[in-house]
Amino acid sequence: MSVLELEDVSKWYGDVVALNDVSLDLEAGLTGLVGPNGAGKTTLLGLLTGQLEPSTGRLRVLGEDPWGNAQLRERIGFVPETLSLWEERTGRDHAHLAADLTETGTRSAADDWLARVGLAEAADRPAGGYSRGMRQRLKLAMALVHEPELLVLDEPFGGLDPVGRREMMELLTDIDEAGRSILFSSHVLHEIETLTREIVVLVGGRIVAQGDIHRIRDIMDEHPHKITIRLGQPRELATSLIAHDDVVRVRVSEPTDDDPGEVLAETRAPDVFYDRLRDTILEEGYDIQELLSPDDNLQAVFNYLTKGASE
Amino acid sequence: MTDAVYEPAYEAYEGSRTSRLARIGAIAQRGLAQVGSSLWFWVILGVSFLHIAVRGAVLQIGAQGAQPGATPFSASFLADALLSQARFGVTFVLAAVAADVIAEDLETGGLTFYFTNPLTKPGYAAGKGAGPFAATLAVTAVPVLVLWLLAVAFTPEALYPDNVWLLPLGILAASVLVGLVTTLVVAAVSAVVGARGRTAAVWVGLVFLLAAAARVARGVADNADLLLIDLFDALERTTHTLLGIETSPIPELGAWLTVAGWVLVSLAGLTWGLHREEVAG
Repeated sequence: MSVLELEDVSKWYGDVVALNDVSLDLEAGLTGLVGPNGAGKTTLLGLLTGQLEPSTGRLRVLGEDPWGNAQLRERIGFVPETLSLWEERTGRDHAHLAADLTETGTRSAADDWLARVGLAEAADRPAGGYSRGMRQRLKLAMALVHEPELLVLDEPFGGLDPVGRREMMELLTDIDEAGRSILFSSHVLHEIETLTREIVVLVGGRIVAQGDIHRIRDIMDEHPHKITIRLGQPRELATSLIAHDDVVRVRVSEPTDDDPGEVLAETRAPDVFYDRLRDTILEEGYDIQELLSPDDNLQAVFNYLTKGASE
Repeated sequence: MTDAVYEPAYEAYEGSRTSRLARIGAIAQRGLAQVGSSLWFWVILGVSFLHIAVRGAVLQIGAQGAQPGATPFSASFLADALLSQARFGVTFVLAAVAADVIAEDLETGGLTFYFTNPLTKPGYAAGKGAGPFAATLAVTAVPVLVLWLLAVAFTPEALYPDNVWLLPLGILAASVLVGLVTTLVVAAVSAVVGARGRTAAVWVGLVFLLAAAARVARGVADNADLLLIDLFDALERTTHTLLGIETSPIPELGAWLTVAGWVLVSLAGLTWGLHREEVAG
């Protein structure tokens, strides 16, 4: 039986079409939903989690219509991208609130999940002092307190540094191995590839590819992957990066009084690059303030796929 | 419910389940704690009891020299205290503790969190409104019931008003009505404005502008019915009705219709605010 079934589902806001005639059938397991910003990923997740009503089409999640179905939400855990947490409340209070709002969640399960995501020691501190990685892990714990069958995550790696990304990936792998179905979105293909081979590519509100990621990667390898790293010592990091064959280009912006410095790197092997970057940061103790993967490069791949799909 | 869909390793939950009421109660409990931790709430409550203490003193002084029929203890005396508390105490306490409850969730993405849990929108609104509603009772029903107790204690039994033992029920009913309606209006303003920090100003501005507009309109047209432009004037008339007072210049039916109109408009605003993302994307 399918976890998700969509038949000719469309969603529009006024004149804007967010999803256009999407049909999809997903089995249990770990699936990545990839697409550039504005592709309709968040709208699709909103439909799947019952926050939005489809304009047309038929939608089934775990065999049920999610729209207005509060009972179905008991079987789904959702990690939204937009939730910015309540700054004064502790992590434990967040997790307990999540447990209190469900039928099957308990406060002891919430405490257990806080420990499993590595927040046991920080649980009684206000969430306002949490790093981005800790916030994401807290949101993950909040989504799991009621032991849902399906876990849905919207951009779970957004804004995380390499260490945070690795921690989140390890957690998702563990959750997948425990038997839950997981659907997560990302606009960075590399992130999805690390976790699963099953992907759905969404561009301009349409599904342009679905299936094994390696076919997509073959196309992507023709395009260098751009990564922006903001830190206080850009020249030192750039010198370290350019020494490797997979790095085709590095551009440095020096720090100013208002802004930290920036390194824009282009690589043909993002997997290797990210692993090496993580090790370099840990070894050299660089103070990374932000790590971004601009859409331009990925957009080119999506454009290619879109063109290919329409031919 | 259909068959469960999961991988073999997944173990479905088989323990006890939390009721819907308890889940709404969890939101309410946090709202009450938030009210309790608000400095402004305690300041306004303190001022409310000062106000009641002054009226209690007036009552005692009046009772000491009262001739039959001249005692200040009456339904009108309590209604005046209640309405003063409603117009000022409720207005400011809601500005302090209620204005941002929904606006904050709209800004922070909290609504997505709540509504991707097994919670309905009415359940969410009820939970969020419980704390502010309790705060309105704390500055209306509680001090005015204390004033009633003082009046009963200070006034000779022979001078009690006829409906003395029904007055607490009237006070409670009027306070509940004021609290429910005003909490709903503030919740709607919070959901429509949708930005922290602005809702309180919109709410307080709305209260005082409408009060001023009602008085100007009444003066110009020499028609007491125009006081119904103001929500609190309508609530004044309903309070008089609930306390058995028949002397208000405002028409009773018009007052109830005005209150009902505010409730309907507020429900529409609240519904729109909570569904705005479904409409706008």
